[in-house]
Amino acid sequence: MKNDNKNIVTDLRSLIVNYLTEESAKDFMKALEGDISAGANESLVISEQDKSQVEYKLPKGIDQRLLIDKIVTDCEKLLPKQKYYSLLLDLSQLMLFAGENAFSLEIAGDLLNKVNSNDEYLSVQAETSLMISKIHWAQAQWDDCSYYISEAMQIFKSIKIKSGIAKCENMLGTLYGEKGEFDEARKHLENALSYLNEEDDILSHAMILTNLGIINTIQGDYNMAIWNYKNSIERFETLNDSRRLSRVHHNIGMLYTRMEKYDAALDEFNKCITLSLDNSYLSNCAVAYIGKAFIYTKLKNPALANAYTDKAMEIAYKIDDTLSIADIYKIKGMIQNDLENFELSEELFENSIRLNKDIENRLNEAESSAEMGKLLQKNEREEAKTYIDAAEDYFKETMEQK
Amino acid sequence: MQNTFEIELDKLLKEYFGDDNLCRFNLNIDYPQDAGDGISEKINEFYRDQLQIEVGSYAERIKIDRTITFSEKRLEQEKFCRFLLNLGKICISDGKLDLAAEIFRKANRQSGNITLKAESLLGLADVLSRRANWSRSLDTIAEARMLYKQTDDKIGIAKCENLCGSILGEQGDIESAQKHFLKSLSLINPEVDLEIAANLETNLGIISHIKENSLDSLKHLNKALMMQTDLGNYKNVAEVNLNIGMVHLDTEKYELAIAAFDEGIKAAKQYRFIPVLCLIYLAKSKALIEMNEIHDAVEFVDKALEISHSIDDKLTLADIYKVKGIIERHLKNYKVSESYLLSSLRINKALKNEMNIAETYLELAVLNGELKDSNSKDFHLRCSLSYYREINAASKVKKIEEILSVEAA
Repeated sequence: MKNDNKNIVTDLRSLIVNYLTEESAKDFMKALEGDISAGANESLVISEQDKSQVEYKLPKGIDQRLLIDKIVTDCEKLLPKQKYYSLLLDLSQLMLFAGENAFSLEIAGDLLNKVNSNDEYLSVQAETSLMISKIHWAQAQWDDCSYYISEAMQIFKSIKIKSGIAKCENMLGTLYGEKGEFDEARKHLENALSYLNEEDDILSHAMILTNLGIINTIQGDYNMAIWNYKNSIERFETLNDSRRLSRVHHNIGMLYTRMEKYDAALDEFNKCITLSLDNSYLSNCAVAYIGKAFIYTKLKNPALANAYTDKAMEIAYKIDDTLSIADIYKIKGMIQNDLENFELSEELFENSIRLNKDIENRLNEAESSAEMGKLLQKNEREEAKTYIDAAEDYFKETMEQK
Repeated sequence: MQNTFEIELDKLLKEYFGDDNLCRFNLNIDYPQDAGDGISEKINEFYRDQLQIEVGSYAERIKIDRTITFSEKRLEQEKFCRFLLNLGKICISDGKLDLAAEIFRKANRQSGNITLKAESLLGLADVLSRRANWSRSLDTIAEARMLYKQTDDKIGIAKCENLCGSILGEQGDIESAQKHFLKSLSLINPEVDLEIAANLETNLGIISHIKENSLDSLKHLNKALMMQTDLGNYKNVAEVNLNIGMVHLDTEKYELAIAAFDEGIKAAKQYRFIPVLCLIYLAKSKALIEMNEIHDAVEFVDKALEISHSIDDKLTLADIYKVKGIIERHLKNYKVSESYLLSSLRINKALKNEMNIAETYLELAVLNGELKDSNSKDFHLRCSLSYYREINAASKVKKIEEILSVEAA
């Protein structure tokens, strides 16, 4: 069929000629039309399991929305208020798991409007603010995330709900961790534990342990991280919480990756992906796909690594996960480096560094800078030192924070 | 067979309702299985062509990311920020609102220039308003206005007034909207500031349309169409055609309405103005319902549904539910029709969109009438009436009052 829809490239072209010289704009547009997976798709040999993962068809968000909208409308009449509000929170969480962030935010936002300035529902108000903070966190919108955590914290403190304060501390720990401020993150996670009565709140306890596991992994305390993850797995299994269990498998995969035990890491990522796909946990799939792509790069299998980064990109774009998108550019840069497409590799690393800077993710920025440094060093470029030093300074600082 | 998501949802609902079969029955009203699932084979070639559009490809995000990184390295800061502002606008017209917001925030962070900071805030306010996040949008406009005032930038302030007017108009506060548009007009020289003048003509045309003055509305809109065409702003040409079509639709000139919508679709597709394209699909669906071409109306409304969800346009989605409710009523699927109308009502209430609330109540009353439920019909008519009164829609108020007095007699 004839398709004369104008592509966004046409808009970009008309825009860029106003800012660059004609020659420069022409060169850039030519590069832009090129494939960033150049050469990586040749000789793709793929197992059945990998094939089913990279060929996974993303669910249509609108089908889910039609169902949920009906439930939200009908249940308002069927359920008592308190129960209805609790259902809305659960639906918002469900949509966040499914990667429907805007819809998740819409449900939580409407709920907050309903309960706002009603003292009868202060705890719902606090839980909803916390939910909203998670949605912003998932999109690397740190200021909004932080704002809603403090709203929730303030209310939980005023009504003296310790488990709520613990959840806010946990969320603050997650926020600082994501920004690469591990000292601060650990402090909040430990605060969170101090507010919890373990027997009453197994879920929060397990979540905090998982987050401590991540910090310990990054700071190189692998034994402690394994202990954290083992304990959180036990708790999630008790609760039959497959989604969060899948997240722990992802984190263990990351731990094995750091330990360079790639086969064990692949096993964990596969467990994570299987559980995530079974439970419509789309946002978790993206990170696990990135984990696998990274390992395939290390195992010198650019074709498979590229297939996984493409799928991860498709998901990350759908769920507006800029953090993952930045990571995908790094791995795509590594793939192109291995294929000796140095110019393209450099450009992809630049994208990753730029995005990580924009979203203030210092750890990922340092990792991408390290890769850029290695690339430039290989090509005997003097700028290499700047990147390598920046990365090393950050890693040193991180280890000192322990 | 249920997919994993539906199984999960069932599990969750059981937590709230237990295994109560009655509740499951209540919730299990089947929606048509093909909702949003591609285009039917039965539709004609011209309509099929109109509905062929791909929205939301990640390949485009990669291109935009690469463009930003490339330009950041090569352009000096102020020029780069100016570039970002234009790029943000492209993202808006392509329906990439998350990315547009990210870009405007970046421009705001990196610019040292007051005017550019104000422009970036105005861009962000535009994104927020398109997501029906009214209060944050108005706050952001206020921030932008303050910056424009610092430099006595009248055009900037006029843009702020224009956006404020659009937001108030979306909420159904037509009088206030008009005041903002007129204030905006007073701040510019329409002979010189052609672009904003053309946009204001469109907005004034919309206001006249809502006030049921179709002649005045068409006068403004035709002038706007000429100005936008002269300026080469073909995206806006699509938007003006949408509004011209809406005037014809409400004055029951369906052929003219369809012709204007077709012009709009052509421009919106060719120059990629996705949010407007979504609105035109919906408007065309409304016209097709009036012409009793229900099958085609379904195709257009379903495409609008798919796009509105992907660009997170809640306001349009609520309107789409209303139209789907009307379609299901025509198909005599009354339960499904009611369900869609109630969802539309709920979302419109959450968005405080008074005009759409009134319209949806009216549709519920029509449905009740068809079901011979005179109590509910009366109740919904009165609800509709009170909202129409609030927004001073004189002819609607008169029409409903007449129906109510006939019913009472």
